[in-house]
Amino acid sequence: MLGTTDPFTTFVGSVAFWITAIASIAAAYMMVFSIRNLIRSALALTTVLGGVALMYALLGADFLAVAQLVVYVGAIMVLIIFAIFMTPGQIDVPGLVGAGQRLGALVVSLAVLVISVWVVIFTPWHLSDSLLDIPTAESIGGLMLTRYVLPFEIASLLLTVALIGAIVIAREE
Amino acid sequence: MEFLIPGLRHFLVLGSILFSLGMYGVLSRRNAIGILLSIELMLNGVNLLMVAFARYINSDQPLAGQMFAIFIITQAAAEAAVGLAIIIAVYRQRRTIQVDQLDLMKG
Repeated sequence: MLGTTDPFTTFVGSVAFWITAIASIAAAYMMVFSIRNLIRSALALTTVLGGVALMYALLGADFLAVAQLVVYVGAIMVLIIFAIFMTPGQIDVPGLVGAGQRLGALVVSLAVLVISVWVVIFTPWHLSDSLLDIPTAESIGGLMLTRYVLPFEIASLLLTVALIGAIVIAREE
Repeated sequence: MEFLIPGLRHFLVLGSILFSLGMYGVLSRRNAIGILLSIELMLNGVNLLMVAFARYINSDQPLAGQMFAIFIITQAAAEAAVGLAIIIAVYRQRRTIQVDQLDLMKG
C-alpha cells in the first residue's frame, strides 16, 4: 500500500522524485524566464502545481495532494485563465520591467536562494524515523474540529468575505 | 550515490528554488496577472517546505505542518479571488493592467 513504507527506499520512488523535481523546476524556470505569453505562463504554472501535488503524495500527505489538485489546478488556475480572457489586449504585451530592475530582481532572488540553500544544508535537523499514519484525511478532519477549530472557522469566514468582496468589486456598475 | 536518495534537504532545496523563481517573477513582471501567477509559485514553494517538515522533523504534533499548508491553500484561494476581481475592476476603468501605468495615486 502506498505510504505504509517510505517510498524512497525503493528505486521507483526516488526516480519519481527526481523526474517530478526536474520537471517542476524546468516549468517554473520557463514560466519566469522564457515565456512571455500569459496563457502559456499559466499552463507552465499548472505543471508546477501538479508536480507539487505529486511531491505531497510522495511525502505521505494524501489529503493535501488531492486538495492541491482540486483547489489549485482545478479552481485557482481556471479563475486565473478566466481573468486573462477578461482582460483582452494584455496577453502578449512585453510584460517586463526595465533591465536595471530585472538585474536587481535577479540579485535579490539569487541571494534569497543562496542563503536559504546554505541554511538548509548546514542546519543539523532533528529527523524522525517514524512515518505518518496513512491515510491522513481522518486525523486531519479530527484536528480541524478540535485543536484547529478556531483557525478553521476564521478560514471559512475569510473565504466567505473574500468571495462576496470579489463579486462586489468585479460587478458591472 | 547517497545524495540521490531523496530526504528532507532535497525537498527543502526544491521549495527554495520554487520560492526564488517566484520571487524573481514578482519583481520582474509588469503584468498584474503575471505577478499573481508568480505569487502562487512562491506560496507553493513555502507549502512544500511545510509538508516536508511535517514528514521528516521529530514532533509531538506530526500533522501541524500539513494543517498549516491547508490554511495557506485556503487563503491563497481567497487572495486569488480578490486579486483577480481587483485586476478586472482596474481593467474596466483604465484599459490596462500594467502595474507601472497604474499610478493614479502618484503625487
